Amino acid sequence: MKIKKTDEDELITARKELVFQKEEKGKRAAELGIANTEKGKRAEELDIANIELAYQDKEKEKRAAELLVANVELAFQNKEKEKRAAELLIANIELAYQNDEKEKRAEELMVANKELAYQNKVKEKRAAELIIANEELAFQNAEKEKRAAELFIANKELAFQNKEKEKRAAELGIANVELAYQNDEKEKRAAELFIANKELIFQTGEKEKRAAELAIADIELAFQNKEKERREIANREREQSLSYAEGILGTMREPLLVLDERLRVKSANEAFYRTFSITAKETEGTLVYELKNRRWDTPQLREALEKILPQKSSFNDLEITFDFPIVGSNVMLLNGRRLLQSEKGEELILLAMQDITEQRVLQQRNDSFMSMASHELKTPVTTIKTLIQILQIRYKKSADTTLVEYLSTIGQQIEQLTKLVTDLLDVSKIKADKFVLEERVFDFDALVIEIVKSCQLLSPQHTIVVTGATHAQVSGDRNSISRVFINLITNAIKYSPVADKIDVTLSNVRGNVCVRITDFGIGIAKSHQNKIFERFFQVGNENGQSFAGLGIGLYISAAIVVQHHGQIGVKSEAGKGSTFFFELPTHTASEPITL
Amino acid sequence: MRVVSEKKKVLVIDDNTGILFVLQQALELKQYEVHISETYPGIDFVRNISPDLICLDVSLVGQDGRDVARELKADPRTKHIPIILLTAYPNAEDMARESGANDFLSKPFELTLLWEMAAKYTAFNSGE
Repeated sequence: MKIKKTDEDELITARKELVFQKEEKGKRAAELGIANTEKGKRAEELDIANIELAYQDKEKEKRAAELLVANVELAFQNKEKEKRAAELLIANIELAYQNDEKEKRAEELMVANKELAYQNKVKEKRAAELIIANEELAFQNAEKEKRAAELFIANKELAFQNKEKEKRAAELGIANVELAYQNDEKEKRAAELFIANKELIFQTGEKEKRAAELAIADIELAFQNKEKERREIANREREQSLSYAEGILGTMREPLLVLDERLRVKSANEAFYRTFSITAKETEGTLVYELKNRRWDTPQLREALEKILPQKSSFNDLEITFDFPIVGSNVMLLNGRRLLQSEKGEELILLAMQDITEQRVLQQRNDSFMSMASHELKTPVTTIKTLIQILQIRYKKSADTTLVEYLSTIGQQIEQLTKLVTDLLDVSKIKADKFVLEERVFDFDALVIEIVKSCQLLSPQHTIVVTGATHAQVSGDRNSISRVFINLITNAIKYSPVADKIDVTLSNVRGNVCVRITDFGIGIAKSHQNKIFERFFQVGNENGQSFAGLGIGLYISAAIVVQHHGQIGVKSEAGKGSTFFFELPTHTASEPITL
Repeated sequence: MRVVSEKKKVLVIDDNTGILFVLQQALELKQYEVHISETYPGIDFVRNISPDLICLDVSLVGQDGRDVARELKADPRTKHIPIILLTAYPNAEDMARESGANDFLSKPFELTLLWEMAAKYTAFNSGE
């Protein structure tokens, strides 16, 4: 029984155990369910985690690629940096070289400045010499004018004496004829008297008649006596006028020769003997061509002298150069005139001479001095001008504005100096007839407009007003004609410092183009108006104020206009202003102008 | 850094040292190799330098630049070298023509004209 019991116990226990296990199984099943649900959740989370992981892998790959690119870039930049370092080295070397160059230029500048100072001194010297030459010129001109005035008076006097002489001679001629007639009459009367006497012896009744005739004869005789007296007076007067004329000829400074019909010397004056170092003996009666070893035998003189009598002509200012061994070379101006000596009906030639040797030498010396002076001035001017231009180019962009300004002023002044020097040379060229003009046909109005535009810039104070037009073409040297026009406008500006207007009028006059330039300035006194076109003449105003310049602008302008067959002139009133005008021939295609 | 052998050579003959100086300055600014002389140094000297251009003053001391031009233009060894006559005389053009010079510069000249002329005649002569 005990075992049974045990078995039963064991069975109960087993059943209990089974129930418990069943319960446990249920629990485990429930837990499994929960666990399964959990597993599902974990699986979902795993999926999400996988997606995330895949995305992160992709990102990592991208970063790796970017890193690669960044590395390449870095390598490139390193190379660039090395290049820059090399360039910097080169730049430093260049900089060092440039510093050296800069120092060199500074030294050169110093040398140039010294040179400039030297050139300025030379210029001053030349200017001083020029002033002296001008004074000399003015003195010579004054002397010349004096001589001319003396000659003019002497000529007038001579002409008057000649006229008087001719009158006397004519009177004498009449008196001679009358005298001859009276002589004949006297003879006739004497014959008649003789007859009358005879008649008286035979015919006393005729006495009264004869007495009457005698009375007539007496009256006649009285008349003859008066005539004789008159003739004596005439002779005296003639002698007086002859001695008067001889007195004049003798005291005249100019040599005179009187030649007869065969060109032999009839008489000469003291001045002639003196000038040609010849005696009266060697001169009088000698053929003019044989004087002074035939030095008077020149083709020009022969031609001029041999025309005078046959053609009843005369000549003036025949220039003849005589080369004498001791006296040297003499330049003479000869005037030749026919004189009528009616007493014998003989014709004479009067040869009046003016010795212009000294005048010519002075003039040549002066001209060659002018030419040389302006030539010599050109060398320093060239040096300075070129240096200034080099400096201006070098310091064009310099921050030193004072330096730039100074250079600009020096440049302008040197340009002005250049112009003056060129003008001076032009004057000597005009004097030597070496002034060259180029001929070209151009539109005159266009030139005027062009110049007025540029001149307007010179003086904003003056308004330049152009009226009219020529619509014409002119043939000539455009540059020179521009110069004339510019000169007249700049003069108008210069001499009307307080005015605000300049009038330019264009017109056509007698087939010429005509320009008038009117200013409202200081004007020109009447006494100066014909002198302003002369060399070196300049008008100051009443206060003695002077204006810059050499006084050769109008001289050059006039030379240019004259060479173009035109004319130039002025109308002016002191204190009111001036009108300058010039005319030039209009160009027509069929009629070219020859310069 | 500067290549010397490529430079064009200019020989300047003028008796005025001021002119010589400025011409040298002006031409060196334009990278010419400039040789200067106050007198005519003789044809052998010229041949030796073999310049691409000669700037020649008319009034040298004791010598006429035109005679120098004639001599250089008459010699087959130097006649190819262009000559610019420098003068302050008014009839520079006639002087250049009758002496056989290629061109002329009237003093005072413009710097730009000098440069233009130098460029023109040295370019002309580049094959020599």
